[in-house]
Amino acid sequence: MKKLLSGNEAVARGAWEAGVVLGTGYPGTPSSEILENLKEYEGVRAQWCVNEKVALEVASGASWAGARVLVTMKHVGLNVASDPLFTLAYTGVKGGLVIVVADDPGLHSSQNEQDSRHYARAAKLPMLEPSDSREAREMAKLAFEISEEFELPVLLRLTTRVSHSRTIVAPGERGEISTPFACIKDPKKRVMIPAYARLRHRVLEKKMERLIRYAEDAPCNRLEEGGGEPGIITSGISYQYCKEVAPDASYLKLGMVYPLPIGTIENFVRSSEKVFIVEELDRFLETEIKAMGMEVTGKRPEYCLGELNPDRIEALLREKSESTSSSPPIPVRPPVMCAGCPHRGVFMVLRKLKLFVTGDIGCYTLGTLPPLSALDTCLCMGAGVGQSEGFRTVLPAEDREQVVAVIGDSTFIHSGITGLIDIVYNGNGGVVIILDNRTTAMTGRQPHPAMGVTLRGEETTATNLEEVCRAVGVRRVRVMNPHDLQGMEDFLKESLPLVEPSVMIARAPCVLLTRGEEPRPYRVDLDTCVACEQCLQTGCPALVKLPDGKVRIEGFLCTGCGVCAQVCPVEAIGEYIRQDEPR
Amino acid sequence: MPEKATSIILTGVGGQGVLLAARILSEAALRSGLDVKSSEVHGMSQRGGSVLAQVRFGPRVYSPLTPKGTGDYLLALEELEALRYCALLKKNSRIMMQRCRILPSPVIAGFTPYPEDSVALLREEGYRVSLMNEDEVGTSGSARFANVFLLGMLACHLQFSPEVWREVVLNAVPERFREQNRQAFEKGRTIL
Repeated sequence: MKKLLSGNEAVARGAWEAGVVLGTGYPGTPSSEILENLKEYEGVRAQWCVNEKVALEVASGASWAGARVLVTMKHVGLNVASDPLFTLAYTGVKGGLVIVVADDPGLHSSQNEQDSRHYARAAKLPMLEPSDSREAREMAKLAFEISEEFELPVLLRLTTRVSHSRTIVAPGERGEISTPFACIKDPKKRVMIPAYARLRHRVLEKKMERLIRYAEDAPCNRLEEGGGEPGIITSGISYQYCKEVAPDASYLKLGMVYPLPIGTIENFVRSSEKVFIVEELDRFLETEIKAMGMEVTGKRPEYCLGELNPDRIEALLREKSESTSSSPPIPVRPPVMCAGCPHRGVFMVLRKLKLFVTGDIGCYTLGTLPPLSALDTCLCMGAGVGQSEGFRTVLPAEDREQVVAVIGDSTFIHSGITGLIDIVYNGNGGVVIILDNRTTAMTGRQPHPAMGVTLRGEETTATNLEEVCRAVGVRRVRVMNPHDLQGMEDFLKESLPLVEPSVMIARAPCVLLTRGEEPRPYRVDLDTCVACEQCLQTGCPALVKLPDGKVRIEGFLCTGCGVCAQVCPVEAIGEYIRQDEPR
Repeated sequence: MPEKATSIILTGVGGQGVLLAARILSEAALRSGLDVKSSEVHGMSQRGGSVLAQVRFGPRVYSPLTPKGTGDYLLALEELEALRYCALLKKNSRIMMQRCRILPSPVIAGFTPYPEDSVALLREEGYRVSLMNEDEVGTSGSARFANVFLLGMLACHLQFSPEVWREVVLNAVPERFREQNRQAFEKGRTIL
């Protein structure tokens, strides 16, 4: 029966039909739902790993034992996994290994909009790119076939708009899994010492030559002779946008974006008066095709930025600059930390102490926005810890005390632990704050190793964050309540001047995890309130400014965290007991 | 059904049920034998951000995104979000909107005002506006069923059968809220 599936659901379905027995990955928008869906299927083990590098390493082991494995991550996750990736191209695989990488053109929820297609060329691996959910399912299956035929990992590239659009899919049945899985010794293929790696590099180049020939007849590359002009070479979601605005054009629709079918492209270019290359982000296809010596029309520089859509493509095909809309500005609605978010109290203290805060990737990155304005860097997963060390290493002694690092619990496990070891090893002091809200909140509350629960909801041994910190050599480790502003302030003032490093674990569950528990909302006593607006500096969405400057608390939003009450200078805010009766 | 794709824009603020409404509508189109594509941006939806979903259906649909100025209907659960996305619509098309103002943080902080009369602004732009007032659902906690109420208002203008609507609405909501959702949908249908 036909179903409406998101691109992510369709990839999970296709992988399951292809006989996948293991799925690994690390959560990251827009890729997270793939494994969350895969776990629902029989006969497959889906698991979150510590980070993307580990996910790919686990997958390579299973593949070498003969199993089909799916690995999922967002675009920046592939940077983390790139070390095993490049050498895995040399060793090759046994059981099909497909790496899903989900790019985020337009930065809906990312720190950059890198184009992951470059990885295919750089690592010399085939890459497929679907343009809707139907193709996502089909190409997931095809990717496993290509992977086993060429003994190579295959990259399956999605973008946010394909991952999170729902289109019609006709699901099929699961294929037979016949191979017995085993350890087979084959050091010349599996041990990449220079002598063996030289040989494998040669094998890889031969495989690429075969893949170029394969691309000429690949079932996912499609010629659509509309009989009209212009000719358009495109792939992924851009194909759908093009069809919307130029239904009569002739198309070479590439499902395999690397390597490219040279002969097919030559024929197509020759048969059209004018050929456009339409692609989101970088000029990847354009560069490749122009390097083949063909005359094609690419795009103006502005179309390398952000997400495309039918309107932009219409302008692109007219070789015009984009028109800028002149409509009156509508107030923006930026995302905010939830009412009761345990990060808010920490940022109130950091702001009060006027510290320089090296930050990281997670909900807490929102701490940079006004009114909190208390987070000063965000580079990549785990970076805040190392950055604090860098600042402190070169700053004059009297300025070192102002630097503090913040990092989430899941992010700390992903890649913050190594930075902390570096601080200890290189004799740097300072404070690292682990914002431990007991989940991977930003990407949709996935479990992580310190929670003692797996993706499938089974209990497992929990990584103890305090013991990890002590084990790497930090002696000052303190677990604190992030709603206790004075306590955190005291600890920071005491710790920042020390030559030895300290870790403050600010621990309270994400409010989205405790939703449904009986909240104890606070209220403002309007007779006491002096309209000083100190509480509004918390940026809590439960606080509403009244016309006279005083403040009211939205009872249905307030969780009773008490942070606003602690910053109120006149004690006007208290726990709600009965109407008109503050305690 | 017209030859060209019909495009419905749905918008609101995180937590208001925009995505659920989009899924119900997509399912109704699927069960009516049409090609369907829907798109949603939900990375920030749980943190009070703006939520936009689009559902397009017809004999054949390519883009999941609606070209500017071609949308047929807008369902808005919040007034500012209606203003933000109305440019996706054709002129003269209809907006079904809940009377609801949720102040975004720059307004709360006093950086910028919330538009005074959003209905007048939308009408000035040439759209026809049908309103759902807060007391209109007629069941307690009406805001919770506003998404389904707006779908009821939309249903008057589409050609999906009542059986299809009933099935997709009831299948999509938790069992204990089925009756309220059914009532909200039927009430919405009475508003033209």
